[in-house]
Amino acid sequence: MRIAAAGSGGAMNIFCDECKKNIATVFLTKISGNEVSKVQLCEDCANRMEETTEAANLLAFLPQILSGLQSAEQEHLVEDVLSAELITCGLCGTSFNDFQKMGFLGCEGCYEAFGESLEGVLFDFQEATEHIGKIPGKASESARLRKRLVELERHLERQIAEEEYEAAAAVRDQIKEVEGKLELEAERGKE
Amino acid sequence: MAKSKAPRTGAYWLGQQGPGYPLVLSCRARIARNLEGLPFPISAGEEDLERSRGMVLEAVSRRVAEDRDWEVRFAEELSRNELEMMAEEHVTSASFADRVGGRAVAIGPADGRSVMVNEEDHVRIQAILPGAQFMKVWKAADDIDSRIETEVQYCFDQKVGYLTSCPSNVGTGLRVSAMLHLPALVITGEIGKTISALGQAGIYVRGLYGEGSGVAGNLFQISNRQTLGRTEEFIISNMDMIVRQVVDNERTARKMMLREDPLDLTDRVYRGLGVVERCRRVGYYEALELISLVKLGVDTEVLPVSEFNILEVGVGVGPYHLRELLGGEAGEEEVDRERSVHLRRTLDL
Repeated sequence: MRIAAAGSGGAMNIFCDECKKNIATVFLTKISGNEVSKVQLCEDCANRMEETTEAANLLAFLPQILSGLQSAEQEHLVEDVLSAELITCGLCGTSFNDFQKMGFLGCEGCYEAFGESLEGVLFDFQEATEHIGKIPGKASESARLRKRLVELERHLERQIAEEEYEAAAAVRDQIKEVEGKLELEAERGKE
Repeated sequence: MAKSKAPRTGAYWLGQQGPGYPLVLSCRARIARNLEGLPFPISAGEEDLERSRGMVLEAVSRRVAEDRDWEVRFAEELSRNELEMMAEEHVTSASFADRVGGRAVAIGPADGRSVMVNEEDHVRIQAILPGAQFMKVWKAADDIDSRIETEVQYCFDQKVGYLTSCPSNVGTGLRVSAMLHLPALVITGEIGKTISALGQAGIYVRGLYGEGSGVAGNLFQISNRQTLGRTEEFIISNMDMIVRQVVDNERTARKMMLREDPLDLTDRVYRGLGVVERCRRVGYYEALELISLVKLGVDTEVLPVSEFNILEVGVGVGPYHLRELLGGEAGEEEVDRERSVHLRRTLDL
């Protein structure tokens, strides 16, 4: 293993990496992509760099995803995004455009109001669209069943991958049973 | 280590050692929740903020605190210094102090548990412990969550789970993190590979103060990126496994440094010690770098300096902790001067 040379051996460099004149008092480890480098700066240069880089670093992740979406070649996708910007949540008045700028939703209603556009964002960020974790103790029976269904489906996929066909058949039966219960719950909800 | 005179706002874990010490300094589980029927804090007016604060604190007082000694602090009643000190200690987030109206934090009796109210979300439950104790912090936070939930109705969607103000927290609302000290990986340049691998594994790598903060003192905070489509148990066990791997890498890098170029290691840590011993003023970030080098020298038994906890010393020389020590109104130069003195005193130099 090679020991990185920066700052080691010979006289210790005490001057600012940027202006090379003032004594460095700000020491930073920069991470950009996979690269890690140490920089030492004087206060003036550090302040100057902070102004330019902080703003860039602090930009929320979400707009990046959306701009990625906009750079997609399919024109209809761009149109979708543009029309999505105009959607406004009827409950709190937050627009999708506001969300893109700030990275925050205004209320629970935004999740429904921004529907598919938000689902795209969720998928890009979370690489998933369905919750399979804890559910509230007071959650409806159908929330429990949905969670159970997702678990069983994953289980089934694993067993098919491992060629455990007999066990897979049993899981399939369980899935049918849960799906039946879910339908019943849905009907009960309509009543 | 000399008893630190630095004031504390509630972070008892700072001076303690847990599993994985001295490479894993602390671990944290944080759960984000919102109350049904009220706008998220970011778009809520004064009345709604008061309402959600009242509901959450009531639930904490009835179900979590019970007869035990929880302390409630209303943000608007705290001084700027007190707010910033809580952030330096990670009792609250850095952005908690940005807006004080309607915000509060309830702090458990010296057990690392707290509930932040009306920051980004109505409820932010946090449990911190020294070292790598991921299952324990999750259980502690989960317990508070279940208790609060018996008193309030959370925003929950059957498909995407618990709804949060930022979709990066939706689903479980769970962010689990670890604070790691990785000087050998940085010095040997191996940290690049580690960060790249962590990125691919869906792990964020940030500095001491999380989102938007630079890395200083070779202190890295790593946390799960995804909160949706995974169970809490998966998120926790995955983080536990990943931290073990990173810690292994750091240990290997330290052994390599000692074996392949012991003079370089010795030279580096003694230079760090030399500056700490002689400096007459020192900025925060430089101090963190120096403390890191000295700590590496202590861990590798190269330096004749007694054992200290880097997180405790690091937080103790934070600008707001020093300002508090100096009486609240001290200027930057005075703080930098005090830092050099304070550093020698806490390290027994």
